[in-house]
Amino acid sequence: MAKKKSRTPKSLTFTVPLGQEAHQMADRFRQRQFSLKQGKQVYLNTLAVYAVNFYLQCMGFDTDKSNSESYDRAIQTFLDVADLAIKEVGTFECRPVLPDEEILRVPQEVWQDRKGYFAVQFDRALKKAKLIGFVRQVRTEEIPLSQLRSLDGFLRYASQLQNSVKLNQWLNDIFDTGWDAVESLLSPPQMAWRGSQNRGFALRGSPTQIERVKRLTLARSGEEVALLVRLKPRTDREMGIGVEIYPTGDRTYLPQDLQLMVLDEAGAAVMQAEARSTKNIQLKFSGETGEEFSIKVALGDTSVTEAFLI
Amino acid sequence: MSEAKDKDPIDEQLNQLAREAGGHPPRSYERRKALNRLVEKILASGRLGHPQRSSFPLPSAIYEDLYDEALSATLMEMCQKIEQYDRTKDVMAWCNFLLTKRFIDAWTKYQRGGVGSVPQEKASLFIRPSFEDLDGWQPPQKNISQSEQLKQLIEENPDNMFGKEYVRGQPQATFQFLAMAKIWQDRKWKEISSELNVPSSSLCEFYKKQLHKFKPFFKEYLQV
Repeated sequence: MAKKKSRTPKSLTFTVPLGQEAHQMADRFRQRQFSLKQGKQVYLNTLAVYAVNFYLQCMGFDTDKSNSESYDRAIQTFLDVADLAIKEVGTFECRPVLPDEEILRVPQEVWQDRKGYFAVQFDRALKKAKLIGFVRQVRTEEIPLSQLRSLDGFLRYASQLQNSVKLNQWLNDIFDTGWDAVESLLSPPQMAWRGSQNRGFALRGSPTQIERVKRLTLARSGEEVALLVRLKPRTDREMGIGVEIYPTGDRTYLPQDLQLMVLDEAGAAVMQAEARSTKNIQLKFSGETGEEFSIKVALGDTSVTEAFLI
Repeated sequence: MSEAKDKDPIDEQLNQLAREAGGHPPRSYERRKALNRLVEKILASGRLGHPQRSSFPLPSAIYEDLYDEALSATLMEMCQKIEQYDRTKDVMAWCNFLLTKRFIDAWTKYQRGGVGSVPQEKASLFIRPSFEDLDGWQPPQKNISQSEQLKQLIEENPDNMFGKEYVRGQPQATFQFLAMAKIWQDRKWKEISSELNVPSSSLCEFYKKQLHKFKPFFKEYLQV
């Protein structure tokens, strides 16, 4: 398919029409409030959550109202929250931005336990809500709108989280397609050095370590390698992680200059190794439940990235 | 497939985005980005149809209201069924076809009386308030007395239930104190923080934890 780069707008936004459904819900929640100030806040919070929920459904995410505090009566009374949980991704905050305001206000109550924050700006008639931007973290009550990231950043981030390999499921013997038993892809010559000590599961009892392998194709070069990931649960929260790259088929060596990188949550390389005349590359590290990382395999200017959630 | 030469460039851009979105797998970043851009472009295109007002004898506020309802339903449907987009036709033709259908749905619902989940004998819509209108709202009398009751309950503090625990090192920083300050005195975390000499983040986290502990209790209490 010919890739014609269409013009990308400077900043991606999303506009949501606010009809009866949105306003009726906002009014219903407002009717329980104690004061004008609370009532106004809850009304706007509800419209903001409605708008983000609409956006997410258009984008093919599943939201989870039962895990969102903004729908909870008791919480509405005591806290200024406008959260919305997205299945497989996490909880996001949807903050209203008043018409003509240049600032996103985020109350301190919601600085923790959020994967990110949407800024939802209203028109004066409250007929439209515009998702104008997004931030991952908040450490101050006021954020100038000019510092927001585009929704493009949200889509990339949330899609990656949603599609990431959930490593804790491996402990329950649940594997995404493409992640196969090591023997299915790597044959004895490649594995010879490993001896027989690491065969995944002990025959009986709990797994001491789990390993799976996935075939990666480096698009343009057509080179293929096998990515092996090994887990060793250490404590309740801590997991030892080993990452290895092997040649596939009957090849003995990895492609020259192939790079293996471990990236942190923000996408910065924290570990790196490179193939010379190498049969395999290994990196080892550990992480805690809930942490995200990615593995990037690069050759020249092509690369493949796999995202993981511990 | 031959494209007419005099096709409006906006149609071509919209068609291209719809094809692009439909060409990527459902949960991919690429599809989502194309859908997002498609919706924004449709809204800005000036090409959205408006069902003839004369066919729907409605006050204009209600017409607009039903129109917005229909428009959001249309956009959602297009995003969720982008695979069904017929590449031989213009996206805007599809969009306006759906929009008319959804408008008739909204109108029928309105005619039957009541919109959404409120089956009403009087076919009145909830009039959407503007931003300025929000300042004209007054809490119903029963909320004010409920607020007073809740305040009293927290002040009376039966069995010291709201005062047993406090932020480490500051016995004054109880849920009772914080709830009174936040809800009934409308004070800021920063203020409370400097009065009690406790970082506002600690106050905030403590307050939230306590609130979750009391949530079932308040839920029942507020049910009245």
